[in-house]
Amino acid sequence: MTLKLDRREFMRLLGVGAMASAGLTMPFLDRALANPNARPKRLVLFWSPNGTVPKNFFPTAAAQDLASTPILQPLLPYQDDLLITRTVYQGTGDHKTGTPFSTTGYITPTGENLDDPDPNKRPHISIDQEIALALGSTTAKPSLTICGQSKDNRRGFISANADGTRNVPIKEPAQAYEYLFGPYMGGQDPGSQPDPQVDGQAVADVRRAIYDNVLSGLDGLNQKVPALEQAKLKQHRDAIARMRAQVKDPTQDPPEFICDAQNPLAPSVRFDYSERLDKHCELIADAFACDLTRVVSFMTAPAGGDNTNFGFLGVGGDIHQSIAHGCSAGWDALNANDEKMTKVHHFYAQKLAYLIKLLKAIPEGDGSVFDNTAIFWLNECSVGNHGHRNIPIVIAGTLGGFFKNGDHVAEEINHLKLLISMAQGMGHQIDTFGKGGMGVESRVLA
Amino acid sequence: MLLRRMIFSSLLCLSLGCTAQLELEPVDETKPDPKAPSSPEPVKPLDPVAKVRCDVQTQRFGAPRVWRLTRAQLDQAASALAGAPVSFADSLSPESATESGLLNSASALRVLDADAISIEAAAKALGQKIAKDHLGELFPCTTDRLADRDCAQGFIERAGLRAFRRPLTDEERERYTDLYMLAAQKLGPEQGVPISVEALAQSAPFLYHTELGQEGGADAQGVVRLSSYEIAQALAMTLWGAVPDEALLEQARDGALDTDEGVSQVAAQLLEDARAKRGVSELYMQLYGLRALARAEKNPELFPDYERLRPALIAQAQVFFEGLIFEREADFKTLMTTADQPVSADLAPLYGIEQAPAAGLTWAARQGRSGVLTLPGVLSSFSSTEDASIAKRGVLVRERLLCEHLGDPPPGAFDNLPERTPEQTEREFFEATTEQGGCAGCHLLINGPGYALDGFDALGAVRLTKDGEPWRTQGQLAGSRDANGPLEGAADMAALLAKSEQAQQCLATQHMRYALGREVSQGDACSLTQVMERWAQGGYKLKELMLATVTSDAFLYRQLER
Repeated sequence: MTLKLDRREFMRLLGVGAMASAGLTMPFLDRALANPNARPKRLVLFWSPNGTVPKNFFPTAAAQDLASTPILQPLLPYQDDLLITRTVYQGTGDHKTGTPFSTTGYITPTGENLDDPDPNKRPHISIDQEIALALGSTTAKPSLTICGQSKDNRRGFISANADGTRNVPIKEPAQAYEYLFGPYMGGQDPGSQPDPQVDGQAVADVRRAIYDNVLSGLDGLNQKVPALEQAKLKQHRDAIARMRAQVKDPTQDPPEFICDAQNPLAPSVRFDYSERLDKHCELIADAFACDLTRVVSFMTAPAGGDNTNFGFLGVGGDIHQSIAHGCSAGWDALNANDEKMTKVHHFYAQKLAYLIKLLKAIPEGDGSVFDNTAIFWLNECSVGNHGHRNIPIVIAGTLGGFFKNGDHVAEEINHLKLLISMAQGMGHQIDTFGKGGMGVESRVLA
Repeated sequence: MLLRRMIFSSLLCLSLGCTAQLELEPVDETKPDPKAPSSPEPVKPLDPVAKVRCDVQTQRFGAPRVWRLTRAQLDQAASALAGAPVSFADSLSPESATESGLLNSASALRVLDADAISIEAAAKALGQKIAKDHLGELFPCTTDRLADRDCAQGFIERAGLRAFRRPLTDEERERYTDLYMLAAQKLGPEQGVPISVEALAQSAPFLYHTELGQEGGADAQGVVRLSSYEIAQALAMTLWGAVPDEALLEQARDGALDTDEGVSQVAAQLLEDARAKRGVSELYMQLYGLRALARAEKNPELFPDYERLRPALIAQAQVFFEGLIFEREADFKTLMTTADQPVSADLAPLYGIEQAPAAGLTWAARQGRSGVLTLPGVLSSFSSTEDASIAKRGVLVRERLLCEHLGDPPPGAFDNLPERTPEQTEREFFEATTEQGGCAGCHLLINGPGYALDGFDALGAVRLTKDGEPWRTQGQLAGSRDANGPLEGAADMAALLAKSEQAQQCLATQHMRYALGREVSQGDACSLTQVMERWAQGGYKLKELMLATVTSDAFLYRQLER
């Protein structure tokens, strides 16, 4: 039998009244263990385009505060949780090479040259999917891939599947909500009360039989197609297998709670750009609170910022062709476009701050979910006018003490080692990733 | 005599340079006499004697494949199963576009986690709808026999044929009937139908179009013809944007698609069906950016009417393509040069028409318009959020109309770029910054077409003057095989493209990309030659090009793994 409880009710039963009255959430009971090492680790790739304005981003040597620059200022309350640094990308520092390199360690755009015989010219898996695959079916959803704005060409994808194909981000928060809290949670539709007339075991048996039918069909087809097509079918098969694994057996599995989102979203609800980013942050928090996933790729806007209008910030103009490409190198004399881009990056810092705030509000053990999380603010180039050196990086959170915090590493670190470090921090012990990447980046580790 | 020649010309343009690589271009040096019917005629099947048979020496056939249906096709497939219009794929991830704007790339269409969940929800809803509203059409017995196995099997056979677009195999029939009976037994007789439909609509044969070939039908080189049911699906997907109906499935069953001549005849019939209008024009809607327009944004302060006009721009383009291809039986030249455009009251201001036309869309020759490139929706799609775009429109011509692949800006392209002043037009800025040095290699190819189309703003309205001076649209179309020449504006460019073999071959290439759901390479030279030859026989009419494409060897044959 599955129990459906309001989260406040759940908290009250656990005797955490103060937090309940504040409307806070808590992960599943079986996750809230005393042993910190047993608590889940979570990773978020928080990705925004067009680099930064270095002069308004990087802390100066003389500054007392890490996060007092115009761009980082929204993160000031959390500066002790931050590590600010910079990396170097392979490629030419443009969107085409920087976007895939930021997350895959290869410069081939996701979804292109899939059949190239040279593996260095093919796209490869992105670090979020690499980690998600390693975590397997630990959580109901292997990962959450979302975006604030979409683009249907090479600029619109930072998450890549194992074969280099594009992992399409969900743009509408309502659809992301459906994905996370969808109909098969606990084998029962959320929002519906358990029907005492319905035999839960029978429902589970039939549900599994449906999945078995689908799997059987996929397996039959799999034998008749070449390897490339088999890889495609495998993705489908794995998705169905994960869904099947979530079906609970009332007579054998212990009763479990259906964890609701703090803010459920109706299917048709739509938001403007800024609100959309907020809603996605809230869904990330809800997903972590309910331990639905531990890996998130959040592309706030596609490379170049295409299709994104910042009139609401008082920034008029084509953000990519006019403003970004009109920026200076950004270290010395700044121009009007640098000032506009500063406002845009400041806006993204506000969203990152909001996400940190939400995660800090979810208690876990003696601290919060944020303590066991790391958010990587990534980018596809160094400045709006392209560049592959001094790519700005912010690491928010230590991933349970794995990464440093409260520091500024004012030298270029190795980006591939950083990606490997993300994996190792999440418990996936790889030593190589990307083109030629080996080992962890010790300069960011605790 | 047909001359088939592969051309890869490298145009090294000045310094750091852009290398524009012209793609595969078989050349037909025999010029057919164009037909000029006095009234629309039905599409005639092609003369099989003229067919050039491709073999593995001259054609690299595609491998057996599974091709997930697009969202629009899945909606059609679900509607065919229900026997009524239903929405199925609303929540699925949007398709990602190829360089040509096509949305049906077989390698990109997948079922990943989020999609599988959306599909499950949609399949469940579909099962419930069929059980509630459409039981009579599919269930062969009275409803007091919902738990009868023979009746269940009959239902599965009928529903399965609709769902899979082919008869079920014996194994499938048994498997789904077992599921039906399990549901009926465990959850109640009335659950057999919705549960089995839920499974059918999540199954691979529903979600994918397979291209496995006739079983045991491969020749010595491993070349195999698609099965009749697969050809039926492929024809329906390409020509209708939908799944085969019962009549087409019967034709497949009865052997009408067993020969290439039969395929030609059936394809000609399908093109006469009303569904072909929407199906064939879909390629043009994708190629010319109208589907991308649905997701493009504009600065609301500069273009407050954009959100209101956008549906009208898309609807206008739909009517334009359907009207041109079907009602007017237009040829390639007409597509490129016609001044006729259908205009509604909403769009009248873009044409400088003060008196609103009658309700609906009115066709007439429009001043300053020349062909598809001057359709407002196309121009609007190839604009920025703030203004028209010389670069986007120039690249549109080079990549999608001439099938040239332009590289990305070279390293350092944006270093030390001067800032564009508010007084500068985009053209003035481009002239000052892109026509010398490292940018010139590509921009001397891009800018000319971009300038020619610069006489239209970001919504596609004509702009004639700036500060009292005529808006400059002069330029040069350079670097192509046979479309070069001076440009006074859009009309000149349209005329050059209209008589360009390179542009014709490019449109044929785009048709093949769309019909095959993959890139077209040197290995497809033979089939592309077939298409060009047949298109010439058909007077270069646009409808004939689609017919030629779906009767090509690349469309009908695959090659098993070597």
